[in-house]
Amino acid sequence: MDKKEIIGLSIVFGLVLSLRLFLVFQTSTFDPDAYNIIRHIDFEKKNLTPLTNDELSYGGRTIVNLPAFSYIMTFFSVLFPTELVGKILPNIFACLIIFVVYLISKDLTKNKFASFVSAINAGFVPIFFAKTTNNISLYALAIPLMFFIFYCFIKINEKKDYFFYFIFSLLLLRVLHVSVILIIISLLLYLLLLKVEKIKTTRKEVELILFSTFIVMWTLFLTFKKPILEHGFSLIWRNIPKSVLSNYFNELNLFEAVHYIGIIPVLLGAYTLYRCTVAEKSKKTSLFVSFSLLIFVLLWLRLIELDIGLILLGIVFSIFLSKAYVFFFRFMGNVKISRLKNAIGILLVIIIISTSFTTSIAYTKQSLKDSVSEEELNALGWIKANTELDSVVLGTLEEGYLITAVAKRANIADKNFIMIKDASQRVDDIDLLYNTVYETAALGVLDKYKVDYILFSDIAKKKYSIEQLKFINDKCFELVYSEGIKIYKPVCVLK
Amino acid sequence: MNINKNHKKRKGIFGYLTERNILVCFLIISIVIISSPFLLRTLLGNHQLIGNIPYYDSKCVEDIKNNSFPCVFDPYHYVQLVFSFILPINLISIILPALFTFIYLIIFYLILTNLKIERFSKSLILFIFLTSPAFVYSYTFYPSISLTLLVFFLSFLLMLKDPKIARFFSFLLFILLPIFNILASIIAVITLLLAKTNLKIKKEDVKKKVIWMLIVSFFYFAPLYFKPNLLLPNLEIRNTFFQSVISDLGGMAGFGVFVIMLALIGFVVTIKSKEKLYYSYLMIVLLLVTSLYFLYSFVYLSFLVSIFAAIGLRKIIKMKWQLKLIKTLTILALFYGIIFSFVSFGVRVVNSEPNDNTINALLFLKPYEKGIVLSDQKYTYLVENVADMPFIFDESFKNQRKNIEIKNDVNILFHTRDVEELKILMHKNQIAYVILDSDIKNREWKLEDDGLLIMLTNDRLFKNIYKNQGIEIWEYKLYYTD
Repeated sequence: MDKKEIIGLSIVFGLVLSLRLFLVFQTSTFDPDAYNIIRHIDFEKKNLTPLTNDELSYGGRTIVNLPAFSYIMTFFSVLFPTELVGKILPNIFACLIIFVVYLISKDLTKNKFASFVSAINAGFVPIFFAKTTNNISLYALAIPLMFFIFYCFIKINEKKDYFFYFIFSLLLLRVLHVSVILIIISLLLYLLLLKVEKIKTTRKEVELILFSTFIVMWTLFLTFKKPILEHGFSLIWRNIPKSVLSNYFNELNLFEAVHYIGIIPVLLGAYTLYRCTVAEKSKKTSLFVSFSLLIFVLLWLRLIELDIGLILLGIVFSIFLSKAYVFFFRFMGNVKISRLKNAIGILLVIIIISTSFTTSIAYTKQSLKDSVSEEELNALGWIKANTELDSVVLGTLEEGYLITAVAKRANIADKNFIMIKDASQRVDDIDLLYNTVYETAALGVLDKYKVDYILFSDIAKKKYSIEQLKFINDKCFELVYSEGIKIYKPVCVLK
Repeated sequence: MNINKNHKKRKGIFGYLTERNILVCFLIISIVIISSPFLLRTLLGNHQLIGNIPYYDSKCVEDIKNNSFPCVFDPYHYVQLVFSFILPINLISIILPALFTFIYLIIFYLILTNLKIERFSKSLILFIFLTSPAFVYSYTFYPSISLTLLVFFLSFLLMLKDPKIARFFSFLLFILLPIFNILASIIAVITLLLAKTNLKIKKEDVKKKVIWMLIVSFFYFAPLYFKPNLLLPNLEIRNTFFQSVISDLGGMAGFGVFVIMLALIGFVVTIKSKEKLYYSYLMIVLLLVTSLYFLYSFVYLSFLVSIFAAIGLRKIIKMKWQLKLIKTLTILALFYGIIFSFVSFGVRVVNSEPNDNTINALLFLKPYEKGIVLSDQKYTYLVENVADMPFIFDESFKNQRKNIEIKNDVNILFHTRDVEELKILMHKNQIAYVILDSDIKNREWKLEDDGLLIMLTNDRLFKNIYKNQGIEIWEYKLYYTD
């Protein structure tokens, strides 16, 4: 990269990051899911070891996860306040995608302008932008790293350094997130694709693929041995109860894809995918073709979360955008209106950026609205200060992490379902409690989990479309906190 | 001198792969692997046999002694019977399969040597086979198969030998094979056809063996068709197909994920000579299908899988690698991966049920008045053999047509909250006792007050007569009044 490119990319990086930070500091809280990481950070700061036995989640459970991301966050949290680290660091990580996409696009097209367009678009993929701004999301780091691994792979034949970068990044991703398995499958698919298209592979590529496959598979089996034995194949769906499974592993819908990725990237990406598969067979592009085909199949079979699948497709389509740009100008060169090609090119870029940019902002603003309210944090703070340490608090599934991380009390359920046998039953019971009109049914649930407090917040109101808990009466439920959010203490026992 | 040293150095590990070294290592590793599940189990304080089929075998031996014979005919029981006059039956149930396994392993080794399999490949095949969960399953959970495999391999080894007497015995053993196991005889037929395609064997000889085997099979199995207990039912499979094939996913036999991956590589490598291997593909498909019904199919499959995986592993090791470090790391990951699957399976075998607590609970039930026991399928044969009580699933296997009906009844009994429905089904199946343990409770019920668990708290219906270390026995009070 020359100096101009570095300056150009740094400006884009700075702009995207500034916008992300501007948005993220509109609220002082996070998305409810972010509090899971905050709990891990708090624990690691105190104990230096990862949280493997959580006494609060589900009233006590084993946690099997990869703690690398929380350790990175913990490291910075030692130096700065956790909230500040949670607001800034994931956004910096997410913005790295701009550099990675630029490098890949430039390598595929040799066209700097087209690569810039791709890089800018990658910075504004709506779903990636919204899902990694205020969530302390692991994907903010994992996704740029995944594409960096691909970049190193396409460069291994050119320079020896990339081989070491590849190994290092792969191992880092391996300790960071299970999405490393997607890299392995797409590399194997890539080998198959090259075989079918009769394109020669180098020995280095085959060796690295073999190595990556075996090392990743083996270490994953070592780490996830217990959950694999416990859940078998359903581990793919993270043991998510059927009643909430569709919130995560939903069907791929074209309109949704257009909305979350952007209309121009979807159209041009799909065209490039078609062209690279059928007409223009390039070895390097085949890697991204195989990756996007894999994501399509996984989405189609609902084997990958819709959000994650769309983020990955959005980034691949951003890369394909540069290819489409090159195809387009090659076509323009052959027609008579070639004089207008610069004007058309710039217009195209403006359309792409403006559509992605506006959708990103709108979508992120929407997701910021779902952040935890100050009122809710105060209520959880009250629980922490005024209840017994061994109290059990019933909240919605979405509030599970909040109860353990902020109130430091045991919950009934949260979104980490792995190694939980009765997850489905617990989720159903929570739903029953918020929906029932019968006091006996509510007391049955409360008695079953020995619940000491019921949290009734805006999240519950919104989720269950209710204004109050219908079974509540003064005789059996004491209102102990009422400042927007209500906290009830059950005082009756079902006989 | 220097030249010699350099030469030795260049040969590396392959320099040590002499026939003698391979054999010695193979024998030592075989002894360690065969003996360790039993030794470790004893050292950990569990003195019971592994799984429930050895209890079925013991029961059959006793039945033969008493001239009552409800079991599936199996020559293994008669060999056990002979030895039972010298040694206790529990000890025989360990020693005999271990001994037969050790002998058939040696025969397997001799077959590979006779087939002039290159030493390195032979070592890999033996390594992969010895570390495959299916192999460990064969002599621990399903001991009678060791004798079948001994006969199977011996007949093949003799077939490869020149003397007429060897061929005669080979022929004899082949035609006896259907008596041992129907699947073994089918596999033998396919293996003969495979051998005919790939080895210099007289076609007439193969034809003769196949025809005679078919004749014996027909005459042996035709009358049995009318008896319901033709084959031992599959007791172990509760998993999906993939979970059964991949031992790392919790299957009680099957193969490690790395061995499967290597076998796939081996499959791709050998695809060029597919015409010669059609029968092996047929065998793989057949065994995968039968594994849905009989878990021991994996034992037969493990030989083929080991060969394909060894081809895959050999290909990876012998490949000219540009990146030496990556080669070393990949091969290490592969070997560690294979060993990891093996050790992980081994731990499950050592800790598998039944244990002393289970047996003590069943012995506690023994003096009680006879009545059908309701529990999970894993107690099949144990209840009948140890507690001397009829078991709901034993009954169903004696009449397999009723099997599905009984399974349905048990499922309803476990999950109903309707007292009247429970009473009707308990009466219909003549159930007098219920045995539950923490494993069954965890698997069957998600909550403590679900289905049968809530019914057991009804003291007008049930009385707890035993509760120790997670095992509970309940007496159904209405059994006698009914």
